Amino acid sequence: MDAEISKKEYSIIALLIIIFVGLDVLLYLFINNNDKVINKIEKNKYNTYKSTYITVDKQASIYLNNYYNLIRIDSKKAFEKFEKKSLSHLTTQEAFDDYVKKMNLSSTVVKKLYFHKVGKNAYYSIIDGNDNKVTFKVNGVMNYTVDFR
Amino acid sequence: MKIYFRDILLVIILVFIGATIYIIVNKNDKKDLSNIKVVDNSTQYYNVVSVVNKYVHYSNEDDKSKIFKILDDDYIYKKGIDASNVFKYVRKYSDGNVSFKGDIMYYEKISDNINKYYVSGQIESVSMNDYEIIDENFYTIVLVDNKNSSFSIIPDDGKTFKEVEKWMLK
Repeated sequence: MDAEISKKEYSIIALLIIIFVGLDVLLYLFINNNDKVINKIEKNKYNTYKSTYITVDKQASIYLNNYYNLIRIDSKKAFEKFEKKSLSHLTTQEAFDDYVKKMNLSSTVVKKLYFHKVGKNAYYSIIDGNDNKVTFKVNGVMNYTVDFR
Repeated sequence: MKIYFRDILLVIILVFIGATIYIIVNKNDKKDLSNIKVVDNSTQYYNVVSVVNKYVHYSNEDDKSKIFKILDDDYIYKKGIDASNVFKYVRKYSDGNVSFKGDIMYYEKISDNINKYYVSGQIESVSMNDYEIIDENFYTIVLVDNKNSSFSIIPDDGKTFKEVEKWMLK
């Protein structure tokens, strides 16, 4: 094969290859840049917040409130969060409903709290204002299971 | 057989077009999820809940400019959003007493001061005599600047959150 290409044309080819490769590299970097590093979010009138410190006691009270409310408004979900193996006779929804009906859940006051951590889980063992014992096993805030012991 | 300049030029242009199409078609949408963790700090969690409540209240007020000002700049740019079309991307909750109730939340550190939160929960309407869940499956992404106490929002239809959750439950 003979090539009828002048020196000038070789230079144009080389230049074009460099330009095209450069453009494709830039395109690749641009469209695959999913998570741009952001170092600052500029404040405006609407996008600020005030940080509120939540104590362990406060969080315990939130769990108690949340679960007692769930029993009232959606006992199916409350049963899903209940550790079935904790009380062996409460393995059905009906048995659970009967059991919680007999509990006095009117108080969400945390009378006593024992908090500890084991591995990834945090445990909030609570005695409420009516002396019910409830333990929340938590793996991530608001991701909990419940045990009446 | 002789090779001419125009033949080489044609081949180069075809290769360039082919490579460009390949890059666009094989766009990498996959996120690196390995740095994502579950939020286990209550203060961090409720700061994000308060931010999401602000976002929900602004949408409830039907105020386009407020919503526009809390959306993430990059999201605005990519979607071509302006103050007039913002509600095409943000759901409006037209009820006087809406609030957000959070479920499990995940986060990743984007830079020294910025965390990105993957949020799920429900939008509920609470009044003296009534309680109603308006949206059982609400999702959003929140960027929080801890140093500046500022935030921005990336609306999510649940696709990103579910992808993150699937990875976390592996």
